[in-house]
Amino acid sequence: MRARGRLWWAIGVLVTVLVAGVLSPFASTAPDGLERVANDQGIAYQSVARTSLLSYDGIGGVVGVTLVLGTALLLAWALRRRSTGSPRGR
Amino acid sequence: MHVPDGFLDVPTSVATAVVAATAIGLSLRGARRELDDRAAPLAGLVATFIFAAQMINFPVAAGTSGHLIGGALAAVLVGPWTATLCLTVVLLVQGLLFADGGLTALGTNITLMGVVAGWTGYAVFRLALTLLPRRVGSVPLAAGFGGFVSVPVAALGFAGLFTVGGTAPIDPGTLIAAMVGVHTLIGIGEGVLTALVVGSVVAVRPDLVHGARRLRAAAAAAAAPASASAPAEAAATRPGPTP
Repeated sequence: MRARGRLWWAIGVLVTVLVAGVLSPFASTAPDGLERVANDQGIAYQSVARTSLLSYDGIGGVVGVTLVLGTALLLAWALRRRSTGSPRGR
Repeated sequence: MHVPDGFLDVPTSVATAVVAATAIGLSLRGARRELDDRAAPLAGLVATFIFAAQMINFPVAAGTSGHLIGGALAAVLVGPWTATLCLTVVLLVQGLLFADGGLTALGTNITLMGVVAGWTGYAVFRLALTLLPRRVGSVPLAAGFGGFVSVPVAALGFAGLFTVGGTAPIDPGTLIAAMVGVHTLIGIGEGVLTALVVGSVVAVRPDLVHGARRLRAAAAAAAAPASASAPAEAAATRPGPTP
């Protein structure tokens, strides 16, 4: 059960890494729904375009995935209900 | 769906930031009831999967693409309060490091994707569950419906905000029709992806799926006395509509 549990998490992380690393080059570069509507309706981007610190390809994707995983895990782990008295506790 | 800087005026952006901050505050309390030792790692994985999946835009029509929002997906897998927190983490990293979604629009994006899409998806999911056969196998389909509806509703939310505080004079009816139209197409992709991912998790670890808990508890309660006392009776009642 514990071994299966660990395997399951490994598969989950692997699928996420595959989505980020393997599928991202095939992503459509067409404007998304909101951008398309904005273009069609003449909503101008009025602010100065920001230069992003990172981009979604290669190293940026890895950094982003790692940051999201770390932040979300820490937050969820801090908020979790401690299971007291359970044999699987803590 | 990521709103950039400059689409909405300052008062509207401040208002959505207040809504987002309030929602995050409530979610920090609500998520405590949803998260335990086993759900907490799943919440981390869900946020990461949504971040990765949001990089992959899929084509929906000529010259238009869309990507998973993930609000409904997260709400079904880890609960609606935790879903808001997952999307908040994703949108913070995207907005701060990738310039994906404006900084002044961070509150707007958290409100639309983390709150509106998440809670709409969860409400439709729960409604669909009451209409579908009461078994765990209905969970992915209901989740798919939730995902499908969540996208045009979030788009409608944006159209509403833009009508109140948009920086360009656009006829509200035209904007609503355009936003809801294209996002209904994107919603089909959202629904399919949500159903597939929830289906995969339900298939291997149904015990981890927040949205399947009641069904599993009801099934366990129904199975326990029946199998203990009269297995034949349980088999006889199974195909019928009576509980």
